[in-house]
Amino acid sequence: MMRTFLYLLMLTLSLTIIHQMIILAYSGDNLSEIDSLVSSIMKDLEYLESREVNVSSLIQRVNEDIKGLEKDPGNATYIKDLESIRDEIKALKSDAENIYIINNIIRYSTAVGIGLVPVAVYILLPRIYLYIWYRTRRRWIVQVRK
Amino acid sequence: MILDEEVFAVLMAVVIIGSVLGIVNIIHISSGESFTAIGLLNEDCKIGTYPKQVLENTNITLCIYVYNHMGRPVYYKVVYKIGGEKDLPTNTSPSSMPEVMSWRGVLDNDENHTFKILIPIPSYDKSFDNKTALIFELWIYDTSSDKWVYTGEWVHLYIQVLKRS
Repeated sequence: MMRTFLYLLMLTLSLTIIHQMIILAYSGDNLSEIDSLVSSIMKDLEYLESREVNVSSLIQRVNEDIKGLEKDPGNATYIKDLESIRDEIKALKSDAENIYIINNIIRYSTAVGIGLVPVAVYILLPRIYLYIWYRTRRRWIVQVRK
Repeated sequence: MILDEEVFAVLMAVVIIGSVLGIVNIIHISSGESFTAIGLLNEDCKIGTYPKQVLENTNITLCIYVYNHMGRPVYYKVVYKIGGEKDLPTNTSPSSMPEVMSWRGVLDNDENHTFKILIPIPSYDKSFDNKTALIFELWIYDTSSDKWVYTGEWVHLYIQVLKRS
């Protein structure tokens, strides 16, 4: 029991140290570390946007984190948020291709549908017109003039 | 014929034009030019009434406008430099003067940011002939080469830096 508790304590301590090391790594005076972190996010965001995934909320969050890190380099809140954005992007990337295919199917089907409208009008309009023409005159009595 | 041929032809023309416009709108056939833009505004984030004379070792507030029309999100930075008339950047090369400050941000396509900046006016031995240029260059991060790339866009404001007696 005591040994398990000690293992857990050691694990928690080492995780905390690793996390603090990550924070320290990003808290350099220059912003090159942030650049490298943001660049990988940007690559993924570019890919997701090319696949027509709506990433505007993620872009807004990345922007807020960058502005925050500029004012307060090494702030754990912003770094954590950038890391969580990375995870969200990973999840979105797995669905991106499917979203893109579905969007394309919808788009081109709609285009084909609109393209077929003139054909439908060409075939159906005279028929519908005739149908209405005859229908409005169905009570008419035709009389032969003498 | 009951349905006049000319009327039918006009109706068909209207339908065909509407259909073509609808298809173009759905497929988004566009050959738009991709570009970014930067603008310098005064402390109220409006055009005009810029400071002309500034005391050395003080700060002034200005506003920067950045616009993205690259067709993709961009990671940008506005680099602040101080120089003279000869130190201005060109469309192809940035100013040779050292960076004083920079502001970073991320913009989605067709989005713009307007933000206030507090810029220091340091004292220089060089007077830049009483025509000191506050230069703001727009750089974007090229994700394929992992480098900052100068966009060729900049804005500058000439001021007279007053020395403390």
